[in-house]
Amino acid sequence: VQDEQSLVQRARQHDEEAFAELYEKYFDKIYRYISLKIGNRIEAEDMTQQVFINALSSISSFKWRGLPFSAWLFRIAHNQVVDHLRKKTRQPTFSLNESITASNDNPQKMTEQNMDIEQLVLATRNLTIAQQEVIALRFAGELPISQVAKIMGKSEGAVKALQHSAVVSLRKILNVVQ
Amino acid sequence: MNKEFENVLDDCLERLIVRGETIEDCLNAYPQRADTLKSLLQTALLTKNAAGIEPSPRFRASARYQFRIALQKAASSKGSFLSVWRFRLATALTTIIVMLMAGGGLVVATGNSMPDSPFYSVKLAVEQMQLNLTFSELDKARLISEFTGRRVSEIIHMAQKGDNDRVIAGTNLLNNQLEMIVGLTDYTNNLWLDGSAIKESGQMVPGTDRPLTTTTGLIMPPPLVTSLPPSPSTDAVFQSPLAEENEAPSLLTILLQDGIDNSNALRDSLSTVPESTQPALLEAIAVLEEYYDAISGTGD
Repeated sequence: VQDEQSLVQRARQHDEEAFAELYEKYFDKIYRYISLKIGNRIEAEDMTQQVFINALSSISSFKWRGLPFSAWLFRIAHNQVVDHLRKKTRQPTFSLNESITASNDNPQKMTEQNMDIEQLVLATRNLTIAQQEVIALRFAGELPISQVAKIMGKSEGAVKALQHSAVVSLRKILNVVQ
Repeated sequence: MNKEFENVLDDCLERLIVRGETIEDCLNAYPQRADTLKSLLQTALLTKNAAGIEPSPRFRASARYQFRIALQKAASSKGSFLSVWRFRLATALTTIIVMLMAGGGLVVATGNSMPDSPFYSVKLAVEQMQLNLTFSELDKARLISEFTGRRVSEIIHMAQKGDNDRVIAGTNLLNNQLEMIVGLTDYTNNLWLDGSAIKESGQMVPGTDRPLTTTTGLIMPPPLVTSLPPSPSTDAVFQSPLAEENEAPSLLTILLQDGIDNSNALRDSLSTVPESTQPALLEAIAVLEEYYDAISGTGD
């Protein structure tokens, strides 16, 4: 946390290397988060780039008030996703099987992963909005529960309950058997 | 009771998602909850794997390059004194150095210098200045591709001397330059990478009798070649009146050829280097292969 705090401090003073380090640290996580929320690789790529451009233009307004940098960054991503979905007149079409899978080098693994991704994106649509957010932040963003709670403005206990109910629902939807 | 289970589940998810532990590890930690936990953790693992998609190498490189440009613009537009000052100082210094060296024939000496030479930093500075003086994105890509040949020679040289650290440092430098090429070409024009421009040209994969594109438009994977025809003349690329129209596919051929040459040079040197530097050399080969996939479109 100390290291990240100092990185953010340097980034706020337009230190290019510091911001580049933050970019490398969060790039994949933001991409995964957006991909899961949007379900379209091309759009996810555009939006991931835009998140970092937006973060760059507003980094000077970032202040440490118990809110970690990751929470701030994921909020930018979240707001962008919400804006994007609002602009669409209907639910996004899921083209993950045509796009995200094309980036995988291993055909066998890709087929398996493709099924999983498609199933997951469709399955999460059956969850509540709050459950979807927990799954995206926790599993795609790989954030600890404390940060998920801060991003969502909820207590850790409430997020754990949402996480529990979301996984139970996913198990039923995906028909996972022991 | 429910709250307690939510804590147990969260602990297991933390182990699974963040710490990379297995389902069995969690079940062993909470044997009394194992029955209830098992299917939930299987669901969680499925979710984790599905959500763990990787950005394509091309997108990663292109996004990184564009972000770097945005960073530099932001730094200069917001009057970052430090950044602007550093840039001006670096430009002035490299100009002075090159002017001083030009008269004394030192350019040749630094051009051949290796990473363990005192002139090596000057060599890199000269390369950087050449880049600063190149304004077209595609010309920059071609120039950097030329530099990658030097990086490969340096990596081989240091590997043969058993200097593992410098092989790794050289590979990092090579990786950065390859990413810059992917970023530059993708940033400039996506068309030439997707094969649509090449289909018209009927070009062949270097060293083979296969066309660069298949009937599905996919670019063929890199061939394993032992001898290659000479690289296309760079003059020919730009002398033709149709040069501008054909510039992109011709550049692609050059980049692919450079990639194959570099990869072959590294592979050939594998048997000539000490065992201690072979893993680092293999890493350099892997970096080049990933680049080849990105530039040819087969990895995206």
